[in-house]
Amino acid sequence: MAVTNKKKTTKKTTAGKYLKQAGKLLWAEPACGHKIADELLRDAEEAVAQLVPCMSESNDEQATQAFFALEAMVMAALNPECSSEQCWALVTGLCQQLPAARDAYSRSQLIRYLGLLGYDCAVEALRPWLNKKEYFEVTLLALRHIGSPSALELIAEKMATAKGSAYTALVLAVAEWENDEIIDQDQMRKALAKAPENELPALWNACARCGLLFVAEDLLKACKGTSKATKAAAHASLALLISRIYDWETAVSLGQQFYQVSPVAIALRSWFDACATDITADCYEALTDAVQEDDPALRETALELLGRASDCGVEVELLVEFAGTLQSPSAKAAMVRMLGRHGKMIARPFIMACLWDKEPEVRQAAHEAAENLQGKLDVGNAIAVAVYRD
Amino acid sequence: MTKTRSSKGAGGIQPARIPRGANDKINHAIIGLGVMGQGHVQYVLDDPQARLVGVCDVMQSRVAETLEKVGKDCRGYRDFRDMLNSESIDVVHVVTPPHWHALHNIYALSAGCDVWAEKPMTRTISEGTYIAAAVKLNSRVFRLNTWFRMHSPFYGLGTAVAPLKKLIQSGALGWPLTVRISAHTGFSWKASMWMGKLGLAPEPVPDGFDYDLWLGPAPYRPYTSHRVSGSFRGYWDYDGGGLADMGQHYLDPVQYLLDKDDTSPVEIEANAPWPQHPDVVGIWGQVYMKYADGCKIILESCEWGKDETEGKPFIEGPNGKVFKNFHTEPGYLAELAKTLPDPEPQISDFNVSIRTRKKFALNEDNGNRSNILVHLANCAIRTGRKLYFDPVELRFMDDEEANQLVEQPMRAPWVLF
Repeated sequence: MAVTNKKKTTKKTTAGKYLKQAGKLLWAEPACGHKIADELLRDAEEAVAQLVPCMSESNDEQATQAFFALEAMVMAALNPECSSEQCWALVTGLCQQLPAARDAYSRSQLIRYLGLLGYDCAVEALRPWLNKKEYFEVTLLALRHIGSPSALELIAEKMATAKGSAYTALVLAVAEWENDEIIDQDQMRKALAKAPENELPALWNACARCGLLFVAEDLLKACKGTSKATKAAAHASLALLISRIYDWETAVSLGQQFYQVSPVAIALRSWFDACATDITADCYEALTDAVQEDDPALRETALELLGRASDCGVEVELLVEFAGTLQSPSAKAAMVRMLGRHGKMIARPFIMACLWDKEPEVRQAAHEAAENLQGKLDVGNAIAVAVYRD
Repeated sequence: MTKTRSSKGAGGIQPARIPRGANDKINHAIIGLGVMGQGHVQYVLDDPQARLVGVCDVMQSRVAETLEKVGKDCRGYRDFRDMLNSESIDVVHVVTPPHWHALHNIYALSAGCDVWAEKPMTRTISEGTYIAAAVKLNSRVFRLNTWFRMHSPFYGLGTAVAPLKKLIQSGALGWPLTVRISAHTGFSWKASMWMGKLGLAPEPVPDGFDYDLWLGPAPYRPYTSHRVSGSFRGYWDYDGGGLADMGQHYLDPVQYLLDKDDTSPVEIEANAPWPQHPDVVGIWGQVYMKYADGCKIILESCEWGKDETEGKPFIEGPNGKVFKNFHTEPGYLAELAKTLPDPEPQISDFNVSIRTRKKFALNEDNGNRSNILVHLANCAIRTGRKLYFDPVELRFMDDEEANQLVEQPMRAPWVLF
């Protein structure tokens, strides 16, 4: 009992004046909080040294006060008006005191603060904690927050020998730099081969962000799989990968393969976007086929993309001609609406003709489309629109 | 046009089913079976067009209790990915804590499902952009679960939103407008109710609860029972207190009223205790937001500091004011509102959106905008200083420090795609 009492006394004495100030910070008036934060920041290194030993996962009164005080210092340092000397002193203090933290909960909070502050000089102090399993995740998040070249270097260094879920976490972090040279392709291939299904989305995302084309094969294979969750991630990664490929032919070809294995909206859009200003005949054909699909999501995507197609080398006359060939009233109606939204006057004669189509669905679409052209209509057509609206 | 390889011979992967006829029931599944999750179960059971096919929660007991209630045609899951894989789902309800919202929404959308999502739409500002992109890329429809812009009396204001919209869009109040959202104008922020608890020590994780999957993308912290279940709102890693709980209910209609569905405030300042705790959400007094055109929103909790909104109108412009219960100054404005044209119609039945593929009234775009207001307010409370926001880039201007709160990395292997 006597030993316990002695320990408590020692702790309070060590905490000293900074903990006394910290005691005033619990839900403090902002003016008071800012004043105390400024005072603490003036002696940042010393204050941190006194506060850190008070932190603990028990969240007792002293620990709570210390958490408030450190939060005040960090948030004050995150004010662009804070002097760089004070920020530097705070970061230095936090780095120095990392080993002194009493438990993993407290040390993790300090690591989070170093990440938030974003100073490159903290990277070396974080190095040992990246190697400890208990701190790996929080340290990696902090390094991602810091985002400096040396943070990347440390993550890459660790990644070189990492395996399993640790590798997944590291490669995901590295991908934020979007640098295709940092990921060793052989290592990634091995990881992809061995990864459990729930880690594949992260690995694919990392590859896609860095534009690593070799992953395309895996992704196309996953598109044919039975797991809808995994397929969803594969679709997203393929779309991202295609958007990161700068070679037009490669991107268009992959877009086409994507749509071949997964004829869904995201694939059609990726293919179309890859074509950029020079839409291929196949892509145009796929769009016109999709307009006649039963799946409304795919049909709406195709219509939207056809609406943009005139910016990609497709003449509006061609769209009008295509619309005129449609047998399905709903597909024709949708096309008419799209041409109406498009608003190009060259489609006007066709839309006007559709006002008297034999199918009510097409006539209704033509009325809606014609409203977009209102003001430019001749009297007869304007009357037809007005009668319809009444 | 350039000719490349043929696209013929497409593989046999079928797109997600979309209900066509009025008699074709819509298959629903629910992720998250807490208090709000049970509300969603009831929405589905009460809808004659709906069929509940799957329910999912990381707490086994909740799944078992729900299955007992809904009958044998529905199956239960612990992991949402297993549910997406096993069931033929049209609509996924995302009723989990906000730190999961972005991932659950995006997985469901990418798996070809429409989404009915709980508010707040996300936990951070940047996550909303990912959700909006996923909706567009996959051509899905999305609704957020708040409805006051469409119907129902606007909480304690004593009126629905439509007559206010009519009055504002007529220009009768003038411009710019100031809106006050506080207990004095009819809105309780529940700020104290959703504070976290200081002084909690770690506890053992209960049997039948997958704490690691509950945490998901959130950083690891030792388990305490107050962190999970309904009280998660009190911890920054998962949500943002009463502001996040009620914010989209209150702020979304205001964005609509002010015609700000495609923009955000540019200046944000808070009056709140400072510092806040790094883990535990605290109390606040006022938040002031200003748009580029001079319109302002003042939020007041009435639970900390001096009240500023007592006796003040809900909406005030240079030419008129509207108080609770539609009392106006000058008095004729209330009568005038009755004669004004109705606002543009909105799709307020999600079944209609699903069947016609037309955007729901509160969707991924305007929902994201009102969600941003919630996060702007909390960023100002946490940083304790005036912030300047770029409504186009969705970043704080010349303030990388505050931007650390806009985008926060997720715990691996979770990643937004």
